[in-house]
Amino acid sequence: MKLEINNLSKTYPNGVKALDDINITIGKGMFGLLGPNGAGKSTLMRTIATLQSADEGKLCFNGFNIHKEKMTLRKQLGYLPQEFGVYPRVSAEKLLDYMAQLKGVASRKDRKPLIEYCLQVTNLVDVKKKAVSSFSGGMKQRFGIAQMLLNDPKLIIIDEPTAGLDPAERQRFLNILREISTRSIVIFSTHIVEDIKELCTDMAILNKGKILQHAEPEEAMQKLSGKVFSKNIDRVELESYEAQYTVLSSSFNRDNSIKIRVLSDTFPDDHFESSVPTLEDVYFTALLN
Amino acid sequence: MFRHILRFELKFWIKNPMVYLFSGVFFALVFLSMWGMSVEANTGENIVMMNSYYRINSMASMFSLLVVFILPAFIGLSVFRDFSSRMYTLLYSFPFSKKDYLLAKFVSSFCVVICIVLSIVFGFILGSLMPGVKSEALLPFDLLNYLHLTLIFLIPNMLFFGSVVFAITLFTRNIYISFIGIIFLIIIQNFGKGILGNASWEFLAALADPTGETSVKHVVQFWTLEERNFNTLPMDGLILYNRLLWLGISGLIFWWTYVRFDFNQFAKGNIKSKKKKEELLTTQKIPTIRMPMNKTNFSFWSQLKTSWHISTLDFRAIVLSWPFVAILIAGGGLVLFQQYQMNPQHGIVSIPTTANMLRFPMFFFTAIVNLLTFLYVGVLIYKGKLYRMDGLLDTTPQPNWVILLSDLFAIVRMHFVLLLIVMLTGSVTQAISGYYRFELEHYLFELFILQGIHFFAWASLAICIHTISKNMYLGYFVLLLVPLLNVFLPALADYLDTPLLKENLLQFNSVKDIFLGFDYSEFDGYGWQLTNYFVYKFYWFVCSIGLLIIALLFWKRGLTFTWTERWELIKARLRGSLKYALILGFLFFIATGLTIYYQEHNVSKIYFSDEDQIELSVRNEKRFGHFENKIQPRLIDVTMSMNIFPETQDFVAGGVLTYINKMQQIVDTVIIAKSFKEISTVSVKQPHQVLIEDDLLNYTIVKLNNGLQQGDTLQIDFEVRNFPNTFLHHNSRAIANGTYITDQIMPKLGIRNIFLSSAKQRKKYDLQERPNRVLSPSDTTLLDYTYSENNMGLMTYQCTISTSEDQIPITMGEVKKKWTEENRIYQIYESKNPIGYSMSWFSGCYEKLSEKGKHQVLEMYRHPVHTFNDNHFFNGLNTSMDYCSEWFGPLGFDTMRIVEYPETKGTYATVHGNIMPYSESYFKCDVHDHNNDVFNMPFFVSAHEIAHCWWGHRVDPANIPGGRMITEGMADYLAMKAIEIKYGEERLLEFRKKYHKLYLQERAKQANETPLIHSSLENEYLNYRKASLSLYALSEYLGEDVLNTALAKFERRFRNAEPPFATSFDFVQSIKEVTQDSLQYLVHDMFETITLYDNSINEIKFKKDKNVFHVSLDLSITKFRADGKGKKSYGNNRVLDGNKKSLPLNDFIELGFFDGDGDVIANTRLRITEIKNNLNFQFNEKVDRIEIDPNYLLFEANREDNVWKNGLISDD
Repeated sequence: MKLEINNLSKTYPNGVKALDDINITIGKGMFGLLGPNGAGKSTLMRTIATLQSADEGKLCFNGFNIHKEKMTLRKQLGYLPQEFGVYPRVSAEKLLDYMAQLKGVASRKDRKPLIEYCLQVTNLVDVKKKAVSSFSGGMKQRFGIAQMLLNDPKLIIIDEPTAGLDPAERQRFLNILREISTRSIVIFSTHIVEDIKELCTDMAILNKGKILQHAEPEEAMQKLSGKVFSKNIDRVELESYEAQYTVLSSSFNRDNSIKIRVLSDTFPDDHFESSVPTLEDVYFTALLN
Repeated sequence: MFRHILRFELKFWIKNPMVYLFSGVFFALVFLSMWGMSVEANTGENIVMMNSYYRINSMASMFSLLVVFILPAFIGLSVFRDFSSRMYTLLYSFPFSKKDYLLAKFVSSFCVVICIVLSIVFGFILGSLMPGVKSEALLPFDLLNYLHLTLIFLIPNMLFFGSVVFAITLFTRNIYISFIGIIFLIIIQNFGKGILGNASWEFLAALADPTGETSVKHVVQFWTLEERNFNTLPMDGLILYNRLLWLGISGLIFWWTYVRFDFNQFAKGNIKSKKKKEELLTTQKIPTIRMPMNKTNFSFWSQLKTSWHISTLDFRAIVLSWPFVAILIAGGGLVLFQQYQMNPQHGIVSIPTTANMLRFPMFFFTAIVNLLTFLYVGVLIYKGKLYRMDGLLDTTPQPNWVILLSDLFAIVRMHFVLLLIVMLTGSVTQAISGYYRFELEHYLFELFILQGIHFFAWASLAICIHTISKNMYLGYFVLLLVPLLNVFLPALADYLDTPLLKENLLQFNSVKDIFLGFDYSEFDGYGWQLTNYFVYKFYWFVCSIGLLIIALLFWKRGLTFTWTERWELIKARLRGSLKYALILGFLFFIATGLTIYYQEHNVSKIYFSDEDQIELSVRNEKRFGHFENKIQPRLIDVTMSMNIFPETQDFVAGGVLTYINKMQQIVDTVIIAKSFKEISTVSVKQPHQVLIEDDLLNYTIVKLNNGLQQGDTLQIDFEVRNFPNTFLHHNSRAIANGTYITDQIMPKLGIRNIFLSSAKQRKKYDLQERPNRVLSPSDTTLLDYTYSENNMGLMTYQCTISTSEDQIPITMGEVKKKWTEENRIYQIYESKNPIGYSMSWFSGCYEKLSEKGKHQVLEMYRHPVHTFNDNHFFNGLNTSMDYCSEWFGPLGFDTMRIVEYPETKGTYATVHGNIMPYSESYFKCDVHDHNNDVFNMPFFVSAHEIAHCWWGHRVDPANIPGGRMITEGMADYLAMKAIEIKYGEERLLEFRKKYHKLYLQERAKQANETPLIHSSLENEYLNYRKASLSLYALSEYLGEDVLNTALAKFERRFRNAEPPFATSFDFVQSIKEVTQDSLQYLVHDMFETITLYDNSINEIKFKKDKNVFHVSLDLSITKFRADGKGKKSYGNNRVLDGNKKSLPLNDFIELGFFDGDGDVIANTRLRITEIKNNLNFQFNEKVDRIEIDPNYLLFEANREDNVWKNGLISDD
């Protein structure tokens, strides 16, 4: 089971190069796509989900060309866009029934248990008669998962799903994803490093349409081991440190001093402490390049 | 802040291409129609000013209605885009007041609307200034007129509809509801117009119309052409009140919107739903997901099933939404109202048959269904985007056709709900009216099959256009233009002289000869028009499939950013089966079209297009014109057979026609013109040579070896049969039940009178000028024979007629013999007395009724269920027959027969010998209908038609102007007398009031009024209305005996007379002979001129003296002549009094005094010589009403000031 992306490029009419010669292969498991806002994540996700076409390049899933055989992909696809709405005044159950038909479950007899199961998994059974349009953010996202599961997808694409969820909901959501990813490819994009750290078996960092780094999170952190140092400095000193070192991140401490993290092959000076690299360090390192 | 928002908004609109597109289209439409009409304008006598204020106003109101329908795309969008872009979540935090926000939004979008309105106005202005326009038909450019139009009508109307749209969009946050809102308003507007108009609250109806159109109509209703051409609409009274009222209402709506609006309402939706939100706190259990077996099925059948099932959600979403329910209720109400108030149609109040229930509401209802189709198809196509669910929907593995089909299903199901309304309301109307013949299958068949396939095509077009269009507003607009295009094409065809453009095949979804609703007869149902309908609809069905395939190509799914990208996608889709389907579909479409075209133009034997007819006319004139003045012998005997075959819908007739030369000239050339629509063979029995056999014009012209001297006879054998019926064409006049064949099938002598009259066309075909001969009764050369239509004299008649055994064959005369042979029934009819030349043959399953009258047996053959009016028909016949026999002597017939023929063949009644063919529509008259206060149509028609036996048959005036004034005027006059005898004076007065109004309204629409003696043959408002009213007035002024004696003398003089025939000059002369000198002016006014009065009661004073009431009256009497266009003149010796002018007066005017119960206290006839008259009267009773000319004997348009009613009474 794998998704191959070869030489994928896309330029919008306004001149923005959203995808710039992307090459990547993604296998079973959770794949995290990390990148700042406007990096081209959504474009990449939509392109994989057959919603838009690329100018150049090829997308293959298990050997077939996605954009030549859209329907074949769609039969195995689960897609949850960054933001989605639903028809007003339609209950979760009805809407799932509608979606199930669209996903090809034509027989009413088959749909009933299927919908019931999806509601159960996403813990929406008690609100199945309520209109989805009145759901809270978390419930709506879970509904999104429920509709996604209807066709037992092999390739799942989720665009920034955790934005706006409270911690409990976010956890619940990620747990479900994690469970699904044991049997399929789950690609999910985010700008929150935390999400990736906890779940992903594989990840890539995307910026300005380019893949900056493609690695397993553990391995990437391993690579930086011994190269990240931290130091508490005074607010006014920041500029000079930035000029002198490769500053990965800087954050205030409670006493108004600033803690900086620096990337360096050698020990910068005595006042620095050696730090265990985090995924954030990996992310910022990649962006710096 | 207001300025900032405004600037921002205006920038948005300036960059919006829709603004330019819509303005451009409106400009082009108006500009081209104005230019085209100004170039094509008719000049001469009845010139219509193309840019008169009245015309511009009524045209602008049509175009501005179209603008109203798309108002939400601007005024609604201005606020809607804040919702759809979710900008509203930020808005409340911005530092501006709601006043700034609302005002800026409205003002900016209204600027766009003004822009569109101005493009319409400029269209008018520029169109009338283009090269090639006929300057005689245009008034000089007057900016004031256009300012008036814009500021008084167009902009205030937009303000009203705009404020409604603004409020709806703002409060519902849904732009679609404001589109629906507009449709709803238009329904309600029509509803109001109908209800108030019908309840004779015309004033209220005029006020209640937000567009001001009704008030304009009310003001101009009696305007003559002259006034319509040159007057500006008065800005007072009704129009002013209407404008102020609706401007006020618009202001109120805007004010209410302002007060009710609150920035927080943006968030309200969320707050409200938050209450319902329940957080389900569950344990952080990690679920185990083991999906059930994948049960997806993508077979064709299951996809088809899916299409249907998913359409249910859309269908329910549409039908159960409150805007749709509101439309359904309002539309249903309007339909119910139209069905209930369908009467009177063409003066006939009809019973609520199912066919009527289906026909009457269709005009408006079709428009509603179409508008909803255009709108909801847009909603369906854009619903994914609208609710931001497209990401989920577009990635599902259903092919596009499944989604497209489900949209189509949803719309078709919506159509069925809408159409069901017509059935429901129709049944309710029938039940209320006490008509219990519910024909469910008739309803279902017409609504769901005939109308169903009609609306299917519109739905397909809507899907195609909405799919191609970039946004929903544009698609909706384009769809609105399509029906307009259908109307424009024929006009363009005339303008460009390309008859091809007139073809129904080029006008989307149209069918030849069927426009909204069907002709239906209870005799043979829809008859052959169904075949025609299905053939055309099949063609449009193929077209619809093609449109759907194109929609599939353009189907919106996922995101495309440029047209090149979209184009690539289309090209990719075009590969494979879709490509072949499209090509095949296109070829099949063209092939079907060509087949129909070929069938219509080359195969049909009875269809002649306008162009075919013109060509025949040209050929007739060029090749045979020199025969025009050849005197022909006249028919004196017909001995024939007529065999009708209802099973196969064929007929064949044959026999011998005997002619005689009645003139002194020797006749040696006989021109036989055979029917165009039948196969005819003729052979002249006398020795002759055939000179010409023309297969196009169907002439056989022979030269007799021995010319006919005066009194010599000529015999012609003939056989006539119908062209065989084919799949597409019903070529026969025989039908399954209710066959009615007239003498149009018979060969006739003389050249065809089909000369072209239009000077333009004559020039085009290189014909010499044909001076429009002034056909005056004084022109004695016209009083004899030229055309076959001219007076034929009398003839004897015998016919053996046969039909199938289950039907009854009928023709003129008495049955002499009757037998059955091989399942066919034969009857020999023979006319006892000679009859005029007009024949007809019938066959149908009739019920026969008979009644013995004073002079003869009356028989009626009618459809078995048409039992409603039997006694009215007989009463009318008897009453009129007795009155006529008394004054003009008895008729010679033993039997008079009424025979019913299908409505689909006509809606008239006439007399052929002793047979009176009556249209089915008279049998369906509902005399007891609540709308029928005055007319008893069955009674009146019978009374009228029987009078024609004397006036029309026994006296057959010369076929020239003034001729029909005698026959129709007399028939109507005598029918009035019958009403008076049967129903009394009061009822007759109501009837005459109605006739009076009809005459005045119709003359206002015409521009060619003539004095009665010159009234042309087709001028109904003169020949029927004015002539009969004038004759009745004379019978009142001269006395019934005096007038009738003179008429009887005239009748005797011209009864069955040989040439020269009677003219209107003779007729008027015979009346003048018995008229005393003091009343001669009246005959002159009524028959020899167009004379009208304008009288008024100016002041009234009362004085009560013990039991004597003194009344002092101040009256103005003025009289004027009018020319053809209604222009007034007062003659050389006019009299003046203040600002009032009049012809010299020496007139008798009636003055009526009535008491509180409406009873007459006194009716005095005054001799008036001055304009101003001060008169004093004394009565023993209190006068409650005073009226000048209370019996409506004189013609007067403005009668409102003729009446004084229970005003102030001063006792001093």
